[in-house]
Amino acid sequence: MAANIHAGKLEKGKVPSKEDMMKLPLFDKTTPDDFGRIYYVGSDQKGNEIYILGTQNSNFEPALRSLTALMELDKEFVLVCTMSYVNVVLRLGGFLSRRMSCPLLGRPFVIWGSKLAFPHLEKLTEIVKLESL
Amino acid sequence: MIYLFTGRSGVFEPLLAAYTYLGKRVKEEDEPLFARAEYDREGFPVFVGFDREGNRVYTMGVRNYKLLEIICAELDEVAGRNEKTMKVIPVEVKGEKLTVFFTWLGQSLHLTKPFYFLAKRWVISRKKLIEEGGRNIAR
Repeated sequence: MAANIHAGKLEKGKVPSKEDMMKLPLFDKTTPDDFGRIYYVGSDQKGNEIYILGTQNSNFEPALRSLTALMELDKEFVLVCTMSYVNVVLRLGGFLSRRMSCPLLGRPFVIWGSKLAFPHLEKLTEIVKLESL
Repeated sequence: MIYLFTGRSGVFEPLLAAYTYLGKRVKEEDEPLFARAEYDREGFPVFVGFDREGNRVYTMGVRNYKLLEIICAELDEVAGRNEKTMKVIPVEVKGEKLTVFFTWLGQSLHLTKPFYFLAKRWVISRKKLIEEGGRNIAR
């Protein structure tokens, strides 16, 4: 969701509806095979490309930073970790929907949790944009 | 090319495999990296040395270490690189969970010395198995 806010695919200042969220290509639709894959989301106003990457493990940020540094890609990539914005409701929803393969039960929680997280993710994208100036 | 040996901890099984790949022998007493708690930080690389062709060799410990190989390939692709810049070697050896359990206990109870010693003995007892993996890469 943060990547889609940054790419301007979600309207700012307005909490997205369930329909808006479900229109996003990978929203609550990932499979275990998607972990570690980098997906293109869009570009920001400056033409910077925006990608997403899911890692399953919440403490993966240092490893990613180390990898990009070793590969000398740390100047090309701005890594933004959103794990601290994953609230309890989202966690529960994600577990039921993705891990237990029961979207019927989990999706309402995912939507609710995403709505709760939206203002914080909006702020995060603003910070990222300011930092990359 | 960079060689990155990965596992649940960067100072145990992957380090032994990296040493085997480099043709080094582990001298337990004066070993600067093996089973050293101060270098055992999740997601931080440990530099082991250079191989015969001058390639840098590192180890890294991460919980979901099998993902690193996929991520590296993806990063290369997104960056538009045609050649691999890093070869990730996941060191998956039977019994690694017990090593992690000892190190976790040591860190949680702030008793790294005895528990890292236990983990060290456990890894050494499986040395042949781990070294075999390192030799396969060297070939």
